[in-house]
Amino acid sequence: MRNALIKIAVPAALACGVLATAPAFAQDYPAKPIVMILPNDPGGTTDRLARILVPHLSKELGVPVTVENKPGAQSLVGNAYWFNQPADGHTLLYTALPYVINNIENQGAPFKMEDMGWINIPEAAQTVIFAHKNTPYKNMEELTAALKERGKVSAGVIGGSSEHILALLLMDKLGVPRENLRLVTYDGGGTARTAISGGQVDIALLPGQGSEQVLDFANPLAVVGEKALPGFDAPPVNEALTPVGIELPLLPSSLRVILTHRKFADEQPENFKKLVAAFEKVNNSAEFQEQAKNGKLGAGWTGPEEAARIIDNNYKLLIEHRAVLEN
Amino acid sequence: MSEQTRPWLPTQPAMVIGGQRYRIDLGDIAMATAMLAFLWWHLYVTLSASTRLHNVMLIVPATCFFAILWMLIVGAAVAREEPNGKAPDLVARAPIGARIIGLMALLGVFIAAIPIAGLDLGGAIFTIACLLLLGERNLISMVLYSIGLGAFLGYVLRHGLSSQIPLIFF
Amino acid sequence: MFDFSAIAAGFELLTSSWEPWLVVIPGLIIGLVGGALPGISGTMTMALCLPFTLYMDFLPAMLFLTSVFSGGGFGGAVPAILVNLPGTTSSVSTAFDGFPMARQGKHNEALGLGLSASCFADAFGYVLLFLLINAAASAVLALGPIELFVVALWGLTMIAALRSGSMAKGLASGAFGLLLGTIGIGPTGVMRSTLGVGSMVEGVPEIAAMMGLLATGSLFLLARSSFIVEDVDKRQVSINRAFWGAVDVFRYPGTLIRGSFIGVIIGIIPGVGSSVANLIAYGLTKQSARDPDSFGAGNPHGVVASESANSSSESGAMATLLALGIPGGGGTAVLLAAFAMHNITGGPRFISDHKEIVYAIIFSNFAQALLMLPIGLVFIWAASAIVRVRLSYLIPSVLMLSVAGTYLMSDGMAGPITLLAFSVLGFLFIRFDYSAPAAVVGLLLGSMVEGELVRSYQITGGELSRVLDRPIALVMIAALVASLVMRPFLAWVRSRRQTTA
Repeated sequence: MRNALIKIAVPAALACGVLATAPAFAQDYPAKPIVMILPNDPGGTTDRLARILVPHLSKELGVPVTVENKPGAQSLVGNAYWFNQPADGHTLLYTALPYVINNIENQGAPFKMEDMGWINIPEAAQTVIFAHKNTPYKNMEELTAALKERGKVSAGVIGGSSEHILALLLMDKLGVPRENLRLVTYDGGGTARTAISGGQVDIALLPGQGSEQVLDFANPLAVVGEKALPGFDAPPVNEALTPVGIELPLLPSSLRVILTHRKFADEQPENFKKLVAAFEKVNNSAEFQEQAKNGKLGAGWTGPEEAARIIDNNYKLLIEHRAVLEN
Repeated sequence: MSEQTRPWLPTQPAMVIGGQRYRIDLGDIAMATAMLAFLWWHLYVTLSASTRLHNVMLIVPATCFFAILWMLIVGAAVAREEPNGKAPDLVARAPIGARIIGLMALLGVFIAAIPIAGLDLGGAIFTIACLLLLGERNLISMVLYSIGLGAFLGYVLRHGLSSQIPLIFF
Repeated sequence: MFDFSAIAAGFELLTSSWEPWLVVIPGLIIGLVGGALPGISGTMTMALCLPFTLYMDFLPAMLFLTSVFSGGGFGGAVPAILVNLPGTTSSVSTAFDGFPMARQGKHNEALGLGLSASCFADAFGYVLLFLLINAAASAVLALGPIELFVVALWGLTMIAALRSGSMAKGLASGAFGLLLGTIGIGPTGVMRSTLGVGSMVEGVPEIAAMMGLLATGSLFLLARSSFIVEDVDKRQVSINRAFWGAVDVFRYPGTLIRGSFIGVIIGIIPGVGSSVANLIAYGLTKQSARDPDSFGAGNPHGVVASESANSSSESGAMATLLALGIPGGGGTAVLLAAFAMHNITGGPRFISDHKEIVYAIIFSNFAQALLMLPIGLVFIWAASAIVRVRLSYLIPSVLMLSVAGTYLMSDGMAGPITLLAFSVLGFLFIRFDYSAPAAVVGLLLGSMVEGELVRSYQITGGELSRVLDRPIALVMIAALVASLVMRPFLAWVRSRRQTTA
């Protein structure tokens, strides 16, 4: 009789033990509110898109999803803050590629590219070069002539962006000292656009997508890309620069990307899949697409693998020129 | 002319310099100097991080400005004393009360203990301790109130606002 | 200037059905409560409400959020007046005269006064918005980095001159606060001192610092008294007296209108906002008063100036938001988000294409300002009961609430630790006659001042002479210098007059 009891009890106890020590990760995800960090000032394009996105995400995931702005130091503050949060899938980051690279290469950021678990690239913006309507510059030729004079032209860019790199590269390729251009760096798209709209700066290099309102005050002189950009009446930049005899590398502007910790994706693949699936569903929903379209915001879906591929391609190009921003 | 209603504190000694009796407010000087020392250290750390113009453009002038003001403040902390023991340009301060120090200490302990004792339990203890310090003696209402307050806040924070604040009971 | 068909359309939009209006009263109440709770700012309250608007149409969403915004504009005054603890950064100077009034037993009157000043200024601000929105937009566009830098600096020096104590200590407080604001990462990404605390990367948590410096520091001093209002006869809660206090606001028309104007103008400037508006209005009112020394001892003008400015700054910020799509601060950032969800992005094209929505927003705020009066009075009546609570119970409760609030805000212990450190500092400031408000403003403006200074340097290419090209900047610099030398100059004039008399 005792034998029988032991035969039943021991396996039962073992079974309980095994069940009790089942991986802690089997608990529900998401387990608490999710935060999406934005390393910019409120009011910019990423900000607006994020704020339209999160209510839908909340509904889909069943927990509150909120946006937190943490601007400063050319995205370093927000990006570093995100990195320091636990890698449990409850803190997302919506940033853009050139800044991340600048943070890592030039600013001693605590994170590396390998720490990023890409989710989606909603938009790959292209740089447009604007000249305020009060300035006499009608094309790149006239602009570059003015750049030869010291201090004649002032320009606005978002600090740490590929536009920032492009502006400095332009001066280098023209063979003029960088100090000729009074380059002003802003902490976000919103403030930079206001500056060019108000004529605080003569020209501005900005991501085209999202800068449509600037067209009331400034003329587009060129688009950095192989083809022209719909909505902006300007030639591709290297075409516009032919009379001057130089060429600019076609750096991607803002590669806006949503991501979470790579560690989370590696350690909790099921939960990461759940997160990505939720994102995909929301992103491709008719409602969200409609809202994004109304706000003139890019809301494409690439998914993690495609995003990684695009970033990889452009990473090399950006790394090549990152030294331009060295402090 | 301020009325001298209090005796001078030990931190406001008198000194005879060049035949004239002066009253010096050491407390005032200490405070101003502590602030300056902190700012000086901040400046040092900033400069060792980078001496680029953009990094120091505000900090260097502002710190120098503060240093100038420090000299003015320290100068004002030394005042001539008249034969009757009054120094109209200086303020005789009241001693810092024991209650105030006690409150500040309690707040410090409470905040330090939150990760261990939680806002609810730690807060209830903190409340009772403050009440005792401030002279309350009705134990029943004190304990009831403290527990009630701790419980209320704990519940609202955890279940109402989904906060991750350390709590013992929620 | 007046597009009558758009006005009519806006009106119609609002009156087409009464159901959207149901959200106004809950919105006002939520704003009032959120503003009154120390540590929970107006912005945070709005952010917490934002998800609820997802399910609403545009009109009720807009009405709801702007009601919360308006409620928060007065809510902060309640604890400022009753316990010397501003509920939001926009009520800092309300406490300067509001709390002394409360100690004299005039808490009902002070609260009523603040309420009606807020309501009036709210409406007045929107009237100005109605008339001047396009001018406001052009004004903001004309503000370059140099102008913004000078404005920030001017605000700072003005506040340093607020207290009647030594000017040197006032300026030192401001400089100290400004330098505290540079802790953390600088504008170029270089890490300065973080005092060994990891979460200081983005700098000192501002609201926790403000609460510590201004409020909890002085709470410690209250430990000596038994009640906020010493005299038991005066310790009543009277909605009647609050009401007459509210009516009283019309005895101070000059201060009221001036405060409202200042609020709107400062509200328009992005980045500065209501937290500075109330202090500047207070400072200017005090400077131009005949009896400046009575300020800080319970002069009703102080309360009126502060509360009118912080409420009218809302309409200024709204002007910038609608005209340029730029949020002026936290509250308008949340509004922008809500608007974006309904495809309202602001900007010059927006205004010309959607005038009726702009008018609808303006008119609805008139209605809110009116509604806030009775709701506010009831709120005051409920909140004033605090004066009957023994300080020994009140002090630990307020401290606990503050700790909880700062934890929520910083999502971690950084908030409470900052609160503690700044409480001690605040106590020391009071003891040694430094100006806590100046330090607070320095802290708040710190990053803006530094950012704009760097950009000023960039835009002038390092050549100071370029500043001469900018007339607005020159005027502002003149105003700055004037405000610095005015007090010593007037004192010198007065002493000359005495010797020749």
